[in-house]
Amino acid sequence: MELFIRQLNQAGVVSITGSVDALTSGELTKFMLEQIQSGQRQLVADLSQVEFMSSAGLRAILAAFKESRQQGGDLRLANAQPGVQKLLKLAGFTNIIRIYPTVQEAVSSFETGSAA
Amino acid sequence: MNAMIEPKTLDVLDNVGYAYFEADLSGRLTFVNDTFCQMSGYPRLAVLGRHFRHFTTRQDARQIYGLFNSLMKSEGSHKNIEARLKKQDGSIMIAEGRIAVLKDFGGKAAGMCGIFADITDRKRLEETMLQARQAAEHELQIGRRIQADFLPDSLPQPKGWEIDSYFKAAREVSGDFYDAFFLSGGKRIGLVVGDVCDKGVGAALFMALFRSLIRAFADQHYSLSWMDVLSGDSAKAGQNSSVERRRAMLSPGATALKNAIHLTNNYITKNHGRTNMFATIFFGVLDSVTGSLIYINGGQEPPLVIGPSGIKRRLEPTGPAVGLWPDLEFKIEQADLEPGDILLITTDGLLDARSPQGEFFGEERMLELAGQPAASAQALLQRLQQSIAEHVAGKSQYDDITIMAVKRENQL
Repeated sequence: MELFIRQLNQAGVVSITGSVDALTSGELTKFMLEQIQSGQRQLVADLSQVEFMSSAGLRAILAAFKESRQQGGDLRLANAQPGVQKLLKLAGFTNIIRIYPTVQEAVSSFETGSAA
Repeated sequence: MNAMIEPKTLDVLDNVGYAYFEADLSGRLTFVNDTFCQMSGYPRLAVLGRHFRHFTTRQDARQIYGLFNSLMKSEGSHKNIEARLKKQDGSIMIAEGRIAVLKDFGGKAAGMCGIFADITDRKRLEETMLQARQAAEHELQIGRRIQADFLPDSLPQPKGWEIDSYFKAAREVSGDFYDAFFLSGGKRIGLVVGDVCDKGVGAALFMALFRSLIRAFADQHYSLSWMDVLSGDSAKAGQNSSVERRRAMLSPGATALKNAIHLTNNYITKNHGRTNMFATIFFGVLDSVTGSLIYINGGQEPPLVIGPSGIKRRLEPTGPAVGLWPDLEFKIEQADLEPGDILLITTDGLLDARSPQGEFFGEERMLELAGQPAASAQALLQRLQQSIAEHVAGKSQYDDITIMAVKRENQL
């Protein structure tokens, strides 16, 4: 799994490539929390390159979501592949965390000032 | 006596820390290099002319004899060997090396030669690592035994019903759990299948916690007014619920359901929010007399209601996974189990089971197998079990697999 962050307007877009499972979820959690701790509280996770996600991956997303909210920001998801979208929906994450079809829409949602 | 190999080669061997020796056909050492002397602690003069068996254990001497004899019979050009070197101070050095037939300049066998290096430290490290791994496995075995205590010894079998389960953990400890217990009154049965997120000891600990909280909160007799029960379902209940449905919602079973899931959700989020642990949970309360099932499905793969002609209904999620956020809403839905129907509840370990080629077992295959008529809950489970075994074909299991089947017997 590879992680890469880039700035897009006031949001940090985290691109995740590969599989997010029990072996890699710890690394993802650490990365996201580090970003939030260093001040980047408005995050978008670009899931377009995530082929597989297990419940361990969901846990990492939950951790980042809670922490970003705690710091007055938010984590929003973008562009999930069908399998990952299904998993997020089944576990009820889509009712709690905002998910958008594209990274651009997710980033824009921060601009419109729609608060967490 | 000089070595039968070139001085340059001897230099190289000393530089890389290899001991070198030559022995005549009777086994007496005719040459040893400096490294041999350093390793053994013997000066050269104390070694030359002595039989090699004096510098090793009896067992290893026999081993070396045997290997050399097979070399003499032209079985190979050299033999790898691990043996003990008895040092001058009485201690043992573990050596790893090779022996070969020493040939004279005419090509005739003149004796034995060999090289070896000191692997004592490596061996000690391997031994330590093995012990550590065995200790860890031992702990996990203990964990497994204790965890088995958190799964039911036996499942209740109310009159007119058959309840069966299949459970296979992927590792020593699991994050899946299932439960079936009578609610107070003895007519209603709680049916639970859950899957804690992630893997390993953490998931196993929370498995014990989730299962205990659900049981404990389901047992409690909290008196909720019927308004409390309905308000949880908000406007939707008022819009399209029938009298039957509302009646079911008001039943003590509904109280148990609501309590079990809501209180567990709040307990976990408030006390263990930092761990971000959650579980997908299906909790149903079955009225064994009427066959009415009320349930909350918190993020589980939809259980199936299977009739004689196939799958009648999928019990879709009625709320999120349990433990995500405090005070989340979990709706109660209702289904009827007619005589002959089977309720099949599985965790995603079944769908995610992989073949050696990496292919998932998948929902389609599961639905196809479940849709075929089954004589009993046990028969259905056996059919699924066999199919999983064939699909997985010996490959190690990735995720815990838990299946519960509840069959209402045909009325005679």
